[in-house]
Amino acid sequence: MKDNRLVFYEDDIQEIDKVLEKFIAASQASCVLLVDLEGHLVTKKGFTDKLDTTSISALIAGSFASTRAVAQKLGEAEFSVLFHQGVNENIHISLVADRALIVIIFDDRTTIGMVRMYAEQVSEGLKSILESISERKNEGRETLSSDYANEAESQIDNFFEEG
Amino acid sequence: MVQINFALREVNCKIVYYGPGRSGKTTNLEIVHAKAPKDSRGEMVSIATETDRTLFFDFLPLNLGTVAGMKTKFQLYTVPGQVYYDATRKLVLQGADGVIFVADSQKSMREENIESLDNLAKNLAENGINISEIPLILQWNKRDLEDVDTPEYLNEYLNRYNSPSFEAVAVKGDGVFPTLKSLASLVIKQINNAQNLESTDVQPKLQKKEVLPSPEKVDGEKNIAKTETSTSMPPISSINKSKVEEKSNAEKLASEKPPIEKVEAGKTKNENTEVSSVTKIENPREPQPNIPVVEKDGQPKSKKIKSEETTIKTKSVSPKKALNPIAAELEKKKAEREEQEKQRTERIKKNARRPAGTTDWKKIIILAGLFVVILAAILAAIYFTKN
Repeated sequence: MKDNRLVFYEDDIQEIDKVLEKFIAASQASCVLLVDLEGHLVTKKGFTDKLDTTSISALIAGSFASTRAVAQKLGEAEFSVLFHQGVNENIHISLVADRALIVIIFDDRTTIGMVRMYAEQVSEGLKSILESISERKNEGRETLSSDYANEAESQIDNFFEEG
Repeated sequence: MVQINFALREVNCKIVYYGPGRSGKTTNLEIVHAKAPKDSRGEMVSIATETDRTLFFDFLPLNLGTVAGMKTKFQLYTVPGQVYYDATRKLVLQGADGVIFVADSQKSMREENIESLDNLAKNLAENGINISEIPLILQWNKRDLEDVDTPEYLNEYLNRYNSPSFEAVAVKGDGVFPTLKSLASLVIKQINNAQNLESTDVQPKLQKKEVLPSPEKVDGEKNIAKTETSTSMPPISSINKSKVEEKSNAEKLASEKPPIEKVEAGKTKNENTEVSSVTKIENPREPQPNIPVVEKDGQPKSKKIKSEETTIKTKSVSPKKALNPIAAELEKKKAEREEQEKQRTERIKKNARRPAGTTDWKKIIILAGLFVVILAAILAAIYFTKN
């Protein structure tokens, strides 16, 4: 099971954040989230304070997975772009490098055309970063502390006793 | 797939509650939501039908706290249990790091339990996960009901992978935390093992999913492989230790074991165990007032283990042994169903329209004859009316 993990280091996230910041400035979107396909949030930029980003990430990953299954029933590999239109808020979701989703939340300060155009650019930018993350060797980089399992064990004991 | 994010200082794991319909998966999650400290849990989201059956999944984020400088988070999901939602179940299992199988202890639910466990193995395999490698915990739920199988018997017919098992009455909150606690420990151990193994490896590409051989195929080797390599499951020594106890239990069981009832497809489920709706997260479902509360007196005492508040059993049941009379019965039924299906297809074929290009002369002659007779009758009628 050693390959069953996805690791992001600080410099990866900094690089991703730079691309996302540029995107927000250009597209005038409210915020943008990068979510992995399992629904875990990787990073977020913009006005996200009032959002429950954990739940949104999980729900969007579920929604994307279900739409992908529908696409496959129609003979498509996937619908790589999803768009949900609301009265005030809209969401644009696109797949990057088949490993993460860019979730763009925007309102009437911008338009779907603008968002779509810049989303394609940001998607290209993130694709190369994510691919380089997946291909590199993590030799000599930060790892979980050797005490992690032991500490987690006692934390688990405390947590479930409190409950 | 565990996500380790050194920028956010987070470790994220995905835990899935699996099991047949109405076995209590959502109830488990609601109890976790109700009992977990407020600052450690997020909002529970439930995508359910109007009748409160899970449509897609229930979701509850749980924050274990900071461990060795990393915020450790578990995301709990349930799957829809109904057979109809198989495609949805497969989606929810994507990237799971641990599974809790919630079985319904009632005798009438044996067939559903086995089907659901088979389905779990199949769906995991289709997601590139081997069921014997992933941390798996079994929960025998609804212990308060009448007419339930003994934990020993449940272990015998469901515990194919030597997984730890727990008794529970989820509607009352009994056994819910111990089950989750045990799985959380297994998942953490798994992360640690992967950490020790990795360090110089290339990260995985999500694209390259390797579909593992079906569980049936690996069944024979699985037990040996697991005890040798997997540290997530109980070590051999602990299994051997408990063997003496198991033996005596098995002997006891042999004398106590209830007669195997004929498993019928159209049996009635105990509706009372279901709880009312959850979409409002702050108001978890309350158990219905008419739940028949039966104390555990009827259960054999051997199921209790002193060291834990709930039972942990690690039975070394060989896969072949797991194929008990019920499984044989199911096999028989499956064969019957297949036979019926075959007959149905033949019937359909027989009744199917003639393929295009062939002409049914018999029909044409009959129709032509009919037409001539009618025409003659009309002409005769005209002739006689004129005269």
